[in-house]
Amino acid sequence: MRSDRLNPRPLRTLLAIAVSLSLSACVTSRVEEFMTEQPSLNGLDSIVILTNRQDAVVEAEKSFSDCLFDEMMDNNSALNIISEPEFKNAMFPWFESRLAPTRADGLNQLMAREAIAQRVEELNIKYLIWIHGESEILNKQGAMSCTLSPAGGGCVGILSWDNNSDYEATIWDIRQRRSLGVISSEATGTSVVPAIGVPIPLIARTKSASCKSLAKQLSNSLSG
Amino acid sequence: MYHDHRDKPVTRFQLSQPPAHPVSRSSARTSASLIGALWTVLLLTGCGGNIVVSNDYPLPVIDPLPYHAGIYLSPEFRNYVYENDEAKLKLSLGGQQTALFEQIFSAMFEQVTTLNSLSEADLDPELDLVIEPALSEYAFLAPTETATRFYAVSLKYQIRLYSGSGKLVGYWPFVAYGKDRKSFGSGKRALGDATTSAMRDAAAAMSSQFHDVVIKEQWRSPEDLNGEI
Repeated sequence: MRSDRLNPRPLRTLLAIAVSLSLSACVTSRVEEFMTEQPSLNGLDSIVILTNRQDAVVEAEKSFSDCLFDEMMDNNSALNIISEPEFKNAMFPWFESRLAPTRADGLNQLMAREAIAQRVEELNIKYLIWIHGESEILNKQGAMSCTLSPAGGGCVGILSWDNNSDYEATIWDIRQRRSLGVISSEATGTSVVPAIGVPIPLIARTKSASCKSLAKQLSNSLSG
Repeated sequence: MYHDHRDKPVTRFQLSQPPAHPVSRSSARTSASLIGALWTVLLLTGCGGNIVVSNDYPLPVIDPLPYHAGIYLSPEFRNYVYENDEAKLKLSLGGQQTALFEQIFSAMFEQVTTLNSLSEADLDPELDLVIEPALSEYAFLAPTETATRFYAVSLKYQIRLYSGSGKLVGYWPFVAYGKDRKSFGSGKRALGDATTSAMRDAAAAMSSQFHDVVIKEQWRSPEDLNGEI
């Protein structure tokens, strides 16, 4: 018996195109490195990724820190990365916002505490990497109207906005108690959602791009 | 800055600018209060789940003071509940702050004895000092009020110090702060995390400053305590 059903292959292709379109809009990213000294790790040294929480307005999202951790592990599985909660609990309460050093030379005072120095040695920590920055949405424009009726529904219009993700990682050598430098990563893009019937989101994933760029550069720097 | 929602539920939503239309000040205030209250209720009740504040705190890495301290945690402190009818919010903090302060004090002094009361029968003449913490105010601000992306929480504590025989010798007030980023549909989670963050900040304040308060006797006179709680 002959089937009148549509061939599913073109539909799948169309769906794949739609999904890939919805996942990608144009993103431009830039990474800059300002290091006074190149970091070097031996096999046992650990690093810690910490979010700078002392700024009242700007603070890197947890999703960014998680992304950075995962990406760095993917880039170099040999890295010993201690998670932020584990480190802060081990050092409690000296890396809470109120007490965390704001400058690398502030480590002198902290490391003068025998118990803290001992914890650092036990965890074999060499570098602290402070993350600062955030992602934001700017310049929202356009309009879209949607209707829904028993006969069906749909949307007409176009929305757009700019995505901007700007982060920096400051590397401190906890043993030498000094800053080695900063790696910054900025990604920008414009997200568009056109709709003639069905809205098609073309999202500029700048946070993800910024995370991947920064993780790659950090992994390269730390791997020597 | 921070407002006590329990005592002054209206002031949080007062207009900072005069209204553009000729509306009486009291009606403008009422409208602003209603809008603010509605917004806070929407933020906090929109997406199910409870506000979770951690009761699991690590042992502080601090050098203990060479004292035998008696610790008294009153029933009010152990069972503290913050209630805000305006925001339809009820938050139990007693268990969490009891766990936190027991943890801090056990690390802060060489010897610690937990007291059931401040009566003579429970006091021990060998105690060097007796400490009683009290939470006098819990307050929070929603992102709409801070004009940031964060929930902000403040905890106002008073640590009362008594001699070993139970005589009030002074008190030390401090405020702990915490914040957490709001994301879509995450109001309750963010408020819980901001409160946990404020609790950890209280531990930081105690660990870093209370040492000096005790050693250098930098507490305030008991006469100043009158009317502050």
